[in-house]
Amino acid sequence: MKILKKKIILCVIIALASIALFVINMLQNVDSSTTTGFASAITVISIVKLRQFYRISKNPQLLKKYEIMQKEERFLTISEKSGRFAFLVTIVVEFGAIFVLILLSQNKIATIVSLIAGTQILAYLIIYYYLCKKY
Amino acid sequence: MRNKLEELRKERGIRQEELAEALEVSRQTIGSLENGRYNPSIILAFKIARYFGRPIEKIFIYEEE
Repeated sequence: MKILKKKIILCVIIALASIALFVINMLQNVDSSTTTGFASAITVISIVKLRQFYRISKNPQLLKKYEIMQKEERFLTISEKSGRFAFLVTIVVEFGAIFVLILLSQNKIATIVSLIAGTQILAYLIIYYYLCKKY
Repeated sequence: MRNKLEELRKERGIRQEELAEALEVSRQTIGSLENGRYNPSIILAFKIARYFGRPIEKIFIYEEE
């Protein structure tokens, strides 16, 4: 139940953040259908997930299966591997985007993307060194 | 690394689902272990050895490539 509770809290936070993004975007009255689409997609996914978690929490058999799956070592190994690969892909895409944005003279957006990429790399390094010390 | 998991499981006449439930892993993990696609952690290897009542090295055979 502990794992499920954590997942529910995370899902609620994501849902609230995406609803806030959706509302702010609507209030600003600018044409940004991509942001609206993104926010609504995340909201819908979060609600579907919450419904799924609720169903699991009400069924002891499903809950046991779910908790086993969450702690299962092969599942964790696969998650770690996919996370590492996703991180690499994101960084490559961000650097590609920065390059294209500079070519298109979109310097402000390029700076924002650079900051995001820099923060990601910094976070990676801090977590890496912390884990090296821990283990 | 090779293993005799499938052989031992079949010897005992148990299904992958039953073994998975006893070891608290998914059926897919048992399948991956049997096919040699996935190597278990030392904890899972001990759990498997205890379940079958055999030493680890009799179930998992390490071969240098």
